[in-house]
Amino acid sequence: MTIEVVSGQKVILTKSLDSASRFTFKMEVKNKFKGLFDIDLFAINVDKNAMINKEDIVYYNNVKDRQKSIIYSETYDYELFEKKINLDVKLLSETTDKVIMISTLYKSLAEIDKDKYIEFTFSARDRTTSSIVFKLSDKISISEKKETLVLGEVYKYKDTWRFNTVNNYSDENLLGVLRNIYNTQIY
Amino acid sequence: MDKNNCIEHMEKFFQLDTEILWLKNPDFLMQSRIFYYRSNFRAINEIKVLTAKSKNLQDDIVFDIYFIRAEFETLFNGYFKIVPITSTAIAMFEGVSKICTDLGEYFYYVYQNSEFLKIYFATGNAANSLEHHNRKKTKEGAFDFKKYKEDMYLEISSYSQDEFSELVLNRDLTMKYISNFIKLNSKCSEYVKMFLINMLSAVYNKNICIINNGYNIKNHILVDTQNVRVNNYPKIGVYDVIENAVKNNALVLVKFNYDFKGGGK
Repeated sequence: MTIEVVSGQKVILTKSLDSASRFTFKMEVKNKFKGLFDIDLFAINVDKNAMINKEDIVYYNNVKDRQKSIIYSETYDYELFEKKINLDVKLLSETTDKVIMISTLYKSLAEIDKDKYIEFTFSARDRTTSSIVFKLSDKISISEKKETLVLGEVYKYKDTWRFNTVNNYSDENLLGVLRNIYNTQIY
Repeated sequence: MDKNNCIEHMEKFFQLDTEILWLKNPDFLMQSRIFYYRSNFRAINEIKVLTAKSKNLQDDIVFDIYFIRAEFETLFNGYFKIVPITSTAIAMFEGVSKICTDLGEYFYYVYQNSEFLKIYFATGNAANSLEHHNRKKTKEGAFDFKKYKEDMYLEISSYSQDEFSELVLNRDLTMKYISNFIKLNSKCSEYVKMFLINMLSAVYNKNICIINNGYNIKNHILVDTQNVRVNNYPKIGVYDVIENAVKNNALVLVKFNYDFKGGGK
C-alpha cells in the first residue's frame, strides 16, 4: 500500500543492507503553462563533512554523479511533465551523508495567470518490486515568490536507508538553501 | 590598442548621424548608455537611434544601430542591435555578435575579432581591408562550416533517437536555462552576456539547441561564466558557427558549464 507522506514523516526505503537498493524518485507536474513554468528536480549528494562536489549535483544539465549512483531523466508531454531520479543506494560512496532532493521553480510571472495553483506529486518507487514506497501530493501557488522546494533527504540510519520528508518552500534560491539551511559548501 | 584608443579610431573613421532631433552630438560612448535610452524610449520596443557611415565616402561602410527595449533579469535592461547596410559593413561585422549592451565595449570587441576592422584602422582603406578579409576567408585552413556541419551531424547520427532526446533539453525553455545559469553561477563576463543575449534573440533561437552532459558529444559550443568557445575548434569564432548555421538552416549544439558560485538569494 502506498504511503501518503507529510512533512516530517520518515519512510524506510531499505530494511537491511541486503535489501533491494534501486529506487526511482519521480516529480510529476501538470504541463499547464508550457515554456512559462517549470519545476526542476535536483538530487545533491552531500558528504559527511557537509561538502558537495559540483559533479555530484545531479539535474537536467548534469545527468549523473561521479559514482553513477544517481541518474537523472526528464520528459515533457502535452499534459504532464516528469523529472526522474534513479538512485541506487548501494552505489553511493561511503562518504555520503545524505542525498537531498530539491526542486527549483521557474516562473515567467508576467505572462501567466498569477492566481493559479499547480498540482504536483513526488513519489518513490522500488525498482526491484515495482511498488510505490511513498507519495507526496501538494500544490504550488504561482503567485508566491518562492524559489525552491526542499522535498526531502535520503539518508542512512544504522543498516537502513530512509527518506525524511521535508516539503518546505523557501524564497532563497538553490544555493541559498544549500548554504544557509544545510550549511554545506560546494567545491 | 585599448578600449579608449578604439573609440578614438571609430570617431576618426566614422561619422554618426541620427534622425532623432533631440539627440545632440551622438557618440560611440557617453551617450550610448542603455539607461539613457531606456528612459527616453519607454513606449517603443525597437527604434533606430544612429546611423554610422565611413567618413571616406568611397569606403561605403554604413551600419545602423537600433535600441531594443527588453529586459531579462540581471542580464540586460535593453540592448543595441547593429544592422550592417552595405556589403563592406557586412564584411566588417562578419563572425561577430551584432547585439550588445554597451556600445563602447562592443566596438573594442569588434576590433579584437574582426580582421576587416583591424586592417581598416591600420590602413584607412576599405578596399584593402576587404581584400584581407576575403583572402582570410578563402585561404587554406579557413573555417569550413560544411565540414563542421558534417562532423556534427555524423556525430549526432551515432546516437539512437532515444539517446538524442535524452541529450537535448526542452527547446521551449531556453529562457529558463539562461535564467538558472545566471542565478546559480558566478558573474558572467561581458562576452558571455553578449552570447546569452544572442541566444535569446529571435535571430538565433531557432538554430540553437541546448544539450546536457549525458553523452560525450564533441561538436558543440561550450559556455562557462567567463568564456564561450567552439569545442574541438579553439580558433573558430562562435558567431562564425552560428551565422553559418542560420544561413544553412542547421542546428548548433550549446552546452553550459555550471560553477555553482552564484549568490545565495
